[in-house]
Amino acid sequence: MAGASPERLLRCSNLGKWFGSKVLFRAVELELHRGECLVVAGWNGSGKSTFLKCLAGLLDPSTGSVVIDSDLPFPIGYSALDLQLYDKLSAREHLVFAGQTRGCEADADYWLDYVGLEDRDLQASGLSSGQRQRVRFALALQHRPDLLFLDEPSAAMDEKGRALVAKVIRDFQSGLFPGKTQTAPGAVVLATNDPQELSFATHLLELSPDRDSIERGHL
Amino acid sequence: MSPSWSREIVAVFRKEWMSEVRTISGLASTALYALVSVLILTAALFALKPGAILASGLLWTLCVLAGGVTLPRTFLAEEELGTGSLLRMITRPEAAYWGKALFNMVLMLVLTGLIFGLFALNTGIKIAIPEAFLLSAIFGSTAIAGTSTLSGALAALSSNRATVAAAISVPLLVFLATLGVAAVSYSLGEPSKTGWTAVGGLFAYSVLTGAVGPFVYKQLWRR
Amino acid sequence: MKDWSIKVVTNPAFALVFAAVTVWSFMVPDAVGFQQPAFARIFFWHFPCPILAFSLMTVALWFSFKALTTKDRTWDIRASAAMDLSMILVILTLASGILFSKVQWGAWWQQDPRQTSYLLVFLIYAAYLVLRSSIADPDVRAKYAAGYAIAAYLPAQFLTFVFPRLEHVAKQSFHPTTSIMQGQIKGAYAQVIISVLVLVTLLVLAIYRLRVKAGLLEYQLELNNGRLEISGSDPTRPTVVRPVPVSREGL
Repeated sequence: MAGASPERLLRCSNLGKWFGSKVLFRAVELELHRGECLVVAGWNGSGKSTFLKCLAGLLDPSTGSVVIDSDLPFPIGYSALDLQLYDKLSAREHLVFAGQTRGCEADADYWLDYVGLEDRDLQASGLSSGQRQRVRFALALQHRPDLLFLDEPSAAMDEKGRALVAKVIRDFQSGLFPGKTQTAPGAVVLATNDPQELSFATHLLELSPDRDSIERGHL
Repeated sequence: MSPSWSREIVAVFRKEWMSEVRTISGLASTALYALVSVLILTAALFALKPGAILASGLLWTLCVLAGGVTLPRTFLAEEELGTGSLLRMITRPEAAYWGKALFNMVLMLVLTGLIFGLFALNTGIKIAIPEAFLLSAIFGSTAIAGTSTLSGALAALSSNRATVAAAISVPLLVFLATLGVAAVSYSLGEPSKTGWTAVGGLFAYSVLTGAVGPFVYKQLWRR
Repeated sequence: MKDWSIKVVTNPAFALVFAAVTVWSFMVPDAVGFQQPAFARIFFWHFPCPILAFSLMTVALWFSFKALTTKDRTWDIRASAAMDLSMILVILTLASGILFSKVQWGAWWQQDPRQTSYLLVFLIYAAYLVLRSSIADPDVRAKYAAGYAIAAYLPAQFLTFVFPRLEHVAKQSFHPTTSIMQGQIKGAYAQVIISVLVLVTLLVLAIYRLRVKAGLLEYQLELNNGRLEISGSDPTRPTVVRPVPVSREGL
């Protein structure tokens, strides 16, 4: 696509999702450009995670479409607490596996360093929830995608982990990771309830508790 | 470095292999299931030497049950352990399907070798046309693996996954067994004009499951 | 407005024609070569069932393909109606075959290869129902059931048409092999068979269309329920939802 400046990476039109008669969101119109960060806020059960899954292509929406304008073969990085790791594989093996499928396995140790994970040869079943979250970040970043979807990224994290979340978002938005060649800035979609994380937002979408989506422009 | 199909498929295969070998219980219970069923059957036959049709029928019953019950695990485990979304984020559907199908084919070939070998040893059956026997075993295994892999993918989101996988794979595999019995009985000396046709049928069905499986799975990729 | 097929079968004339053909089927001369020649007439009703079951499964294959590739639930409604009716026809085939077996061959179940292979066909249909009933989400169910219907088509047709004709199987079967196409059934006997086939086809078509209509209405109701819930929320809220740029004034 390209053309417009800043370059558009994602657009969705008339996006809606419901399960039976339970409507989570509907008629969402959205465009996301390089360098932007969309924060999706809302109460528990308001459909934030489902919304992210629809954008990331993990769920079929009930209506509407999502178009990702990227030439990359794997344009999306996705991290969510319900993204389970393979219990019998270590963190490094996860990255090697994902790297082999996405053509970037030589970078496994760099990304484990970046997310600050030391127990990289321990099977995932032996990792704490915070360590698992770091592995998810590394998996989401390893292939240098254009779009990063983070669902409650700080949920299992300590203070250091929260700082890591901020670093991940900042570096991804700028396209510059230490020791790596700079790429075009990426766009972030962040689902969160954490007031601190609202500060990352360049755009905000609130999914309201009465199952109807509303828009809010000011923090 | 850009992704390539072969590397992606091999990566999924390796992942399956590492997970299964480290879990032990999955592979061990599969092998044990095959061993026990052959031994029970040959013990029941005792001194009776089965004819070509009976022997091939028993062999295929063992293979179909072993394959139908154990092979769909590769997809079922992804959903049971919640790793399906991770797989979706890091592979393409065709590669995920082929990687798992390849793993199942290797597993089924080993299982078939074990079942056929033990059964032949215990019952003393004579193989009249070894090349037909070998090809039946190979094509039969790949066809069983293809069908079971697809059944696993189809049952992955249902409640009572394992039961549903067996319920949908066994009727499809029994159809395969009708071809397999014709092919193996021919290789064991049963005179037939359609023996090689049945071997060809097993091959054709392997190819067909290889074509239909990835197509169907690609459509199921998103939830 | 009523569908033409429903109009036809709900017309009293249809029932009259049906009754007349049934009476006619008892008036044609007995078939030869059976233990109970008079009872061989069950063939008139046995014969259309597998043909229509096969046709409906073929139609379901196409609808399933469409359901899988378009993700449009209406195709699944058609596929499911065709598969359900097809299964009923398979059961009728089996039931009439079993009855025939008892009268002509002396046992309800003969382990005849044709009986056995058709029982396997029934199990393939039963597995379709098992799969459908085990998935709660209707959209997911539609996709997975469609995948199974595609995968199951070839095995079911093989068991119906190819397996019974395999050399080592055919020679063990008691099943009659005479056919209209080969000219072995002719005259009034053939006319009755064709008449019954036409009538049963019309009936099956009407039931199929009714099932599809009911399914589509049910689906519409489900969609309307969703819309009602949406319209029940605050009407002052915007219809289209867009994220907005964040202003940090006052932070």
